[in-house]
Amino acid sequence: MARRAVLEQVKSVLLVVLVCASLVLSAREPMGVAVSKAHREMPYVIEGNQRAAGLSQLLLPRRLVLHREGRHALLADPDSAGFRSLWGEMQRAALAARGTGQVEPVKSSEIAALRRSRTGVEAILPAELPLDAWFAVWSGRGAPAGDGGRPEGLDRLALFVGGDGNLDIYLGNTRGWGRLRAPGGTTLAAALQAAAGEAAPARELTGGWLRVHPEGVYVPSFEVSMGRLVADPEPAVDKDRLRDAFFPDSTAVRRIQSQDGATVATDGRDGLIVYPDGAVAFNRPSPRNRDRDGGKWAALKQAAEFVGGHGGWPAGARLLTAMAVRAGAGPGDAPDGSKSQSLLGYRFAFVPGYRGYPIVGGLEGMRVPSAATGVPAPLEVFTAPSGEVQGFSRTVSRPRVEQAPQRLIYPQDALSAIDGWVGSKVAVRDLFPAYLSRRSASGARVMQPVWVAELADGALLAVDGATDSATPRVYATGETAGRPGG
Amino acid sequence: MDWPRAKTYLIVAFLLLNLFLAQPAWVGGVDDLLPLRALRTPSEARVKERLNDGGIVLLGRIPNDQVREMPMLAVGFAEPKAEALAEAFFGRAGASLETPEGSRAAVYRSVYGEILTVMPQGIVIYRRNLQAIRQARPLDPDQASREAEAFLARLGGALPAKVEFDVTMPVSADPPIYQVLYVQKHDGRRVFAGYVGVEVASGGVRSVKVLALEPLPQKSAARPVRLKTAEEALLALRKELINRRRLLPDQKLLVDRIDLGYYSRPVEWASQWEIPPVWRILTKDGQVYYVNVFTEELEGLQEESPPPT
Repeated sequence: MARRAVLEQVKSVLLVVLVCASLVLSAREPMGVAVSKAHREMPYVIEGNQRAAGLSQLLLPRRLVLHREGRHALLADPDSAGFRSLWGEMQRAALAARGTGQVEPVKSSEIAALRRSRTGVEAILPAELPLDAWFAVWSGRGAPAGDGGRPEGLDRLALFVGGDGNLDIYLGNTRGWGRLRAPGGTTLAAALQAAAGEAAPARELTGGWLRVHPEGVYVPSFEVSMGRLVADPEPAVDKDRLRDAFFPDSTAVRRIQSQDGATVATDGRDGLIVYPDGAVAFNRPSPRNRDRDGGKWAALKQAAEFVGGHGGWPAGARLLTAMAVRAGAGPGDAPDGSKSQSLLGYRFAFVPGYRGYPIVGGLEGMRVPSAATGVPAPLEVFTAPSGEVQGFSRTVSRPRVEQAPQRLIYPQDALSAIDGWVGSKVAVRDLFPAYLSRRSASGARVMQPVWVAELADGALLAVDGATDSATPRVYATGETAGRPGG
Repeated sequence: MDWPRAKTYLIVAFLLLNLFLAQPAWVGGVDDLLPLRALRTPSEARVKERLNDGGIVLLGRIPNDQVREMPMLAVGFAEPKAEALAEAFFGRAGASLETPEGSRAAVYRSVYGEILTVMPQGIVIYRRNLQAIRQARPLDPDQASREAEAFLARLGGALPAKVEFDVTMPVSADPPIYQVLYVQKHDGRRVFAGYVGVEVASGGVRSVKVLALEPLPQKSAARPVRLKTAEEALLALRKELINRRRLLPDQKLLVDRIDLGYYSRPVEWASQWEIPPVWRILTKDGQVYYVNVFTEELEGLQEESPPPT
């Protein structure tokens, strides 16, 4: 009996010890190391933006040029139903032709002849990306792994209706053209006819003393009228949530409030600036991932994911340019496609739009290494070769009031204005009307109509489009006002 | 009720519960059983032995800081009162005021050639005419500290920040010059970024430099995190010095002392900013390093450390 009483006493003591131990272990969890390991992704989307933008939307063609058997070409309005329908038809035709046979090489002169003599449509794509990547985007089956399989790049797609009713599909890049054949000429002809009703006349630009893209730069042949816009900054940005999106582990992040109202956050390696108007600049001087080159396509996917989680996508955003940045060179791919210079990373410029015209302009502070000077885009991402984001800037504002439209200067005059900025060795890759978002002298944000010239080295020059002065102003840099420390 | 049986069931249940709660420690190692490694207090001799094996000779003591958490410290510049400072340094009507054009600084000159510069970013610099302190005499660190203490006592409460004595460091051996450093404190912790540095030569105090900060209310609660221990900070510093070719791989790093506090370089364009907790390390060769307790990164090179000249 006595032994049993002793045993019960031992059990009581043991029970008390176990209860105390459980209290100690429970208290450890909320204040212990487990918490500091929780570096969770915390995406933040600013009101009115979207977390994800479909690649098919981001990678819409800059423009569709309709060729009409000797008659003047037409430009399809990117906001029109005809544009969407025609682009859908082009994607279907290209996908149907995939794998039907060898891609035959074709000379540029042959394409030039087709433009004059046949009915067809030419899509000017925003960037050269691998062929398989384009096919994956168009088929909506998701993106291929890695750099998109076959290395052949594609930045132009042209479809011409053959005499037999079939389609000749031409795949182009900076180094030449290739041809595939497919059925479907009848449906394309119908889509062309529908789009032509909404399209505007275009002409191929000749540069005169300036070199232009050998495959042609198409500009509107009619008078372009655009109204100056007054813009508002984005709704109040939650700076804490935005900071957490960039720094998932905020323990070591310090905040700095500048005298001009900007907020800086840094963990000693990465830096983030949020300006009073919601503009954002992020910089990671040294990549953490020094893996091999994953390719432009893989980097683009990571850049798009990053933009979506760090403020989000404004409505209608598209890719404007995608460039490989090499040491000692401008951001453009080497014209001959060589990779002799060491790769620093990739630069992507995304632009929102207004009534079919892209909006350019952004922060100057986020320029990428070795980049040529030029006007930045509202959304710019610079990635390391591995695809890791090293630089990001976001200057998005919302058009509020449109003032009375004014006629833009002629594109030839815009080319003349940039003559002094462009050396004879640099070609003009594209020229298009756009809005330039910038702060006016009064501090209000305005979006003024401009002609934007894209040079072969990737730089964007904006020419004040609404002036008739003999020397229209050329904008070749981004905004610098209001940056802390400088 | 059958209490003996109930106790048995409870013992089994709590045993299982404790096994479940202790499971992360088995996975993460015994270290994780403690909330923070800084709580461990292994014997000083053992730590010094380990440091020695790692190429570090610690001459001072290992701090016994049992730190659970240290959040960032939000600060702004304290606003110095120029007139009150001029009166404290020179007495009534003892100096003339000059304000350089385009500058927000106030510059006072005394009849003895002393210059006092008061800047809005919490910076006060006093320099004494070198001619007036020509008379040389022997000087040791204790004498320098006493002279600095007496000099500051004469200023009363005019300095824009309350400071406490921190350390006396040699600036020059011949002639003997010492830097007597006072630092601000917040919640019992040293704030190395806010300081009063008094330079004492054999003829007396020759300069005073003040960087005054104003601690601000903490906006967010500290997140519990594993802080780097003094031992980890020392080893990280040695590695970094070797990387920067300031120390040879086979060379010992001689350390005078190591202390926990707050430090970052002042941000001139900011209205307020946060400064991280650091381990401040004073080496035998007179250099000062600050190692971030979160990241082990150096918070500025030794050239950027406070000692004013």
